[in-house]
Amino acid sequence: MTVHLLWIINQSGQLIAKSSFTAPENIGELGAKPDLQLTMSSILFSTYGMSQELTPNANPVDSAGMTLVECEEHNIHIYETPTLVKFVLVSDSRTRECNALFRELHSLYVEYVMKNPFHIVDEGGIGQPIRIAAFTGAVKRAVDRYHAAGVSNATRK
Amino acid sequence: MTLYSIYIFNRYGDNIFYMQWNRTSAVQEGEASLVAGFIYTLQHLSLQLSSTGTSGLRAVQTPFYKLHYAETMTGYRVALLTCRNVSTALVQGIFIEMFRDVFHKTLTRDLNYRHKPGCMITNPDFAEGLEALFRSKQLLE
Repeated sequence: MTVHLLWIINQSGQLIAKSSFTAPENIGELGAKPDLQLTMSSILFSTYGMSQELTPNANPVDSAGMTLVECEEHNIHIYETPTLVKFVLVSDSRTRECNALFRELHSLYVEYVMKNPFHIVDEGGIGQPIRIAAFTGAVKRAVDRYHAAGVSNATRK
Repeated sequence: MTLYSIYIFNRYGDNIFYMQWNRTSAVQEGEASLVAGFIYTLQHLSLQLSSTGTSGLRAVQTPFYKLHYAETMTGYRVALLTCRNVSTALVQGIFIEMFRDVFHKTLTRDLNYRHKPGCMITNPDFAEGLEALFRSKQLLE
């Protein structure tokens, strides 16, 4: 029930926010070389589009992209908002779903980012990073509460 | 449980085997290359997240289908598209049996099969063995 990393990717495929919640070594090379996250997040954006194209037996209008990538050590969870902003969470491989956390993060995004009159969403076609300390703090607290809830659930079992 | 299609690629990226079952949509031009690029990219991303450098991709879940993946040490890659509720652990086990039994018996021992670029799987026993394996696991009826 551990979440290591959050990416927020805008509708153009640009990484506009990233937050780490555990030590860098938990996410391998992406922890050792944080700049790599810019590249890998845009690559993930491209593969999301590919996963829609590969949908068998579906009306193309109904196609939806991948919601979970299961790896041996990690799960990558993806949540797309109706405005095509994507929230990506990298967790340990035992975390099956993060839907409640995603909804909470989406609410925080609306509350702290979209309602902020000084946040520039898009400048000359280039998405702007989210540099709002209150948002970053709120995200950390939400994930800390999520981790704490996971621990208490594990203790209860 | 529903099976849609299976792709097998060799280490050179050639699509050496394709088979489909409950599929009603047409196969798109270039689809095998798209699958190859898709699984290669996610495998690469998974290895970059890995603390050991060796932990790879297992499956990709979407609201409409699930793609299961495995890779051998010799570079053979398999992508199996199923409905969304097929267990990842079940299919990983099936892949092990597929490579250890069906693949080994019908291809490794086939004098006409070569581990080289462009060599397709043409032995009909492989397809038959594969379907028999899927039927024994209740993926096909």
